Amino acid sequence: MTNPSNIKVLKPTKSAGSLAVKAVRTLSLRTVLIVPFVVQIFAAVGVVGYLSFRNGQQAVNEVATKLRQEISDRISERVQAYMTFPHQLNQLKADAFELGDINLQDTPNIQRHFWKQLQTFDTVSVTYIATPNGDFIAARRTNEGNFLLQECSALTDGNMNYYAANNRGEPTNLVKVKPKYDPRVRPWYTAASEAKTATWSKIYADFTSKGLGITAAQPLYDESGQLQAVLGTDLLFSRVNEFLQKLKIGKSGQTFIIERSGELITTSTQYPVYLIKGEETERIQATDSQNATISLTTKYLQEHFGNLNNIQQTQQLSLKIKDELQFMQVTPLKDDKGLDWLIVVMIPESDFLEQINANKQTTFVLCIAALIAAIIVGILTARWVTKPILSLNEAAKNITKGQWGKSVEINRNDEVGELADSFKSMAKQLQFSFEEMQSLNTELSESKSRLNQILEAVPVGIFVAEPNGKPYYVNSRAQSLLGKGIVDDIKSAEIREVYQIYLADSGEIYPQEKDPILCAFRGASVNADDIEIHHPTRTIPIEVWGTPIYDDKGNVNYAIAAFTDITLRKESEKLLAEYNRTLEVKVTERTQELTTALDHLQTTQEELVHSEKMAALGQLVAGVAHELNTPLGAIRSSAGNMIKFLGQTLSNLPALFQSLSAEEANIFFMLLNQSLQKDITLTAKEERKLRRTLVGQLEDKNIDEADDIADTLVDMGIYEADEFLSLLQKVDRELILDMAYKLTEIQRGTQTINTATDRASKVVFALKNYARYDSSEVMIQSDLVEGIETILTLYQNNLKHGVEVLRNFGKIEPVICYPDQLNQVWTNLIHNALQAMDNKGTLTLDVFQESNRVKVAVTDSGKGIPEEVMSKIFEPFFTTKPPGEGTGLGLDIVRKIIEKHRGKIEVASVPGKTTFTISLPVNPG
Amino acid sequence: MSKPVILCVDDEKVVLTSLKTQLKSAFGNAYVYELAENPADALELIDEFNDDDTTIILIVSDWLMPGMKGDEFLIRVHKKFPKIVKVMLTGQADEDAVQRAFDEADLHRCLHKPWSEEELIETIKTALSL
Repeated sequence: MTNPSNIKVLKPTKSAGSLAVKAVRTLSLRTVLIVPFVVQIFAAVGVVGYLSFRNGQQAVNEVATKLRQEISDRISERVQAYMTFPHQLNQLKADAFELGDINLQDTPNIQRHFWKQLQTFDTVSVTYIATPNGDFIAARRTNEGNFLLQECSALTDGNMNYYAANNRGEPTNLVKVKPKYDPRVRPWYTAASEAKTATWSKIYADFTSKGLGITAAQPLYDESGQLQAVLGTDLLFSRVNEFLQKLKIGKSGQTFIIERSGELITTSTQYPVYLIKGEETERIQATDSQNATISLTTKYLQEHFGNLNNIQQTQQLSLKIKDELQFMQVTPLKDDKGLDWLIVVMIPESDFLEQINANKQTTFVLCIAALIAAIIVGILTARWVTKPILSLNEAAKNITKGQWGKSVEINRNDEVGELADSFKSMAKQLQFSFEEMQSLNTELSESKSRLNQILEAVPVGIFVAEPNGKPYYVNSRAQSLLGKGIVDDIKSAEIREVYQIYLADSGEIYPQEKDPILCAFRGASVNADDIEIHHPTRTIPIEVWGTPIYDDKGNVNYAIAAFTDITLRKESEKLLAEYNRTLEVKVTERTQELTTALDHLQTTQEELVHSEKMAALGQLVAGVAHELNTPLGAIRSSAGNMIKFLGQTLSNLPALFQSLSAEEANIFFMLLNQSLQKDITLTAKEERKLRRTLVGQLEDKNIDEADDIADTLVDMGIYEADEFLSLLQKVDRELILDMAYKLTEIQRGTQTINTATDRASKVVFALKNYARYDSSEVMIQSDLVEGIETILTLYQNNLKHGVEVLRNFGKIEPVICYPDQLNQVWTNLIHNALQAMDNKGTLTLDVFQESNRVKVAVTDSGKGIPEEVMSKIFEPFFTTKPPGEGTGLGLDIVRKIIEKHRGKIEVASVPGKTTFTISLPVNPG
Repeated sequence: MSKPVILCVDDEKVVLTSLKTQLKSAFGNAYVYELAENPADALELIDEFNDDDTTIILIVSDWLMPGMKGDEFLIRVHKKFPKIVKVMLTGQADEDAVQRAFDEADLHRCLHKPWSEEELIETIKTALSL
């Protein structure tokens, strides 16, 4: 991050140039494009305008100069032309006198001559002649354009008579009389007589026209030099005035003619050049003119040149009047007759400037229009150029904001289009890279946090240090062990002091050369368990593993110290040491105890074997009692019946035989014989069936009480009654049958007693075999089949219903063994087999010899041993039987007994077939 | 109406024939004496008689028999035919089992093998209130 204030401090003296550059940098691209463009246009237009203005100015000056010059020249020429006429006229008159065309006495001729002159010279107002004796003859033009003829002579008594002239120049009627006129006192007369040559009179006010006029006078001398006459011609300035007024001087220019004395002669204006005071006229000084231009200009000239007489050359000047610049030219006007005037031409600058201003306005408007057009074009150009750049800029900004979706749409084929295309592909690449980077970042942060979690989760303190000693990472377990987290600004050599790492049991800081972190920085992986962390209130012994972490170049860039609290271990070690000290004593003691315990155990085991045997016997007892009591019951009841029946039959027998015929007696004996051959193997159910058949037979023969008779017959073993019908149809058949029944019952009772006795004997024999206990513990030769048969006898009660016993007894050698213990084995196996199949099914017993080993296999068709209990069945106290029915020791003892015989026991079980196979050596040696 | 039935159940045929001989000797043709060699046959027979409207008035049953012990057999009979008098005749019986038969099968008497004829007949007479 850049701090702006820092920049200020670093660059306090920033040049104006760099500030401008900075200002330019802050401007928008559009402004940068437009402003210089507009400034250039502005400057160009300004320069053009200025030059145009300057040119205009110069042109004005030139034109003004020229115009003033021209006008002055024209005025000068015209005025000079005017002024030559009177003198030429005088000359003509003088010539006429000299030539004698006219003479002074011929007044009418003179008058006619003069009248004719006026006709020709229309600028001349009066032409006349005076003599030294005071005669005066003149012709005059009136203001109205008529002509008057004048005469003053002795004939008119010195009065001036004015006659109207007719069209032939002859005087007609007297119009006016001016008394006592003496021409010799008139200025023109005096001037001419004094000058003795043609001259101008002073300017004077004309009597008649009341205008200013001047008279050209010329003396006329004879050959002797005697003044003969003075010729005069009056010129009225009114004509000059008219000319000047008509003269176009620029638009509003003025001109005026003054005498060196400053008196006005004539002007181009209407302003008067003289004042009329009664009969007199008074000249007006130019400086006093009512026309401000005239008066001010004259004053300026006087000031500028000091005196008007000093103006000898044509002068062009300019001055300001009423804030308006006036171009002025003053031109001296002279002739050889003494004329010495000044022509002043004034042209206001505005006359030129109007056009110039008009031009200026046009120029200005054009400039503005050009400027506006330039700006518009500039803006459009700038927009055209900058718009795609700005939209690229916008897109770039969006990209920096992470909005990838807003793409740039610029369809142009120029460089900007190419730029946009490049930008788009760049943005795509950027987005791809960015997304890749983001996913990498996400992965990285995930893996970082995972790593963090893992490091936090390990129950080991993790301390990572940078090479400069600064702790880089300390997990929470480490923090709790160290009592502090990351401590900044420490050196690697200070870590031990800062974190209070001591050498165990010494009170000294852990030695530097063994420090696991320093070792790790030297590239060594070390393990130390002689370290303690000292806290104010406790000391934690720790085991530390120091490990270096290498970077790509193989330099150690981190050192990891993993450590764990070994307080318990240390305590255990202490305890262990203590235990070691007393161990020998303890071992002796324990050995003694163990020896005793072993003895006990052996005794217990023997007892257990015996008790298992007794338990099995206990289970047998129930069956055995039953097995004995049942035949006993049968014997007892049969014996009782026999005794009773014998008594009964013996006494009744003779009477019976007496009642029988010989044939009947034969049938009776036949009945007895048949009964004595009774098949006693029939079941109750079979007998019931036979009885029912018999009942049907008897009923067919219409024998009463067929049920009872049939019952008795079946009891006797008689199932067909046809042979004995004669007896059964007798009246005393009941007695006969009862006798036969009771007589044969003696036989049946005997059979019952025999059967029962056999049964009882077998049981007793088996019990005798089973109970045999060879306390001498000496192995003897024994027939295994005999033992097995004994057990089968004992289990006869369980086998007789529903269990088929298959005996596959091969020929085997006698085996040297403990027979009673093996009987216990057979008992257990057969008992288990019968239980496994609920006393229903097939019990297969295989006995065979394989070389010097005898094998006995007991197979039942029961449900099989579940897989999960298979491995436990030989464990002591494992049983699947209900509590009280089994000790759970059976198979354990079987295994022990078989092992005692150096034999093996194996079991294989699937549902429907479980086989226990015992393998015994014939001679276990 | 057929004669009432006395049913003897024992897995030993010799016992059954002995019993029948004794009973027939004592009671003659007053009853029908039926024999069954296991409880399953007995139960089948009982159902058969019930269908024939033949009344079983007394059962003499052994205890240690294949498939079903005497107490369980009698309890089952009792649940269906409580009026039948039950007598147990056994060579060896678990005391608990006998007690259970008394409690749950309303056992009239338990006789032990070897039995005496007098005891048997007397027991049946008292049972049948003869």
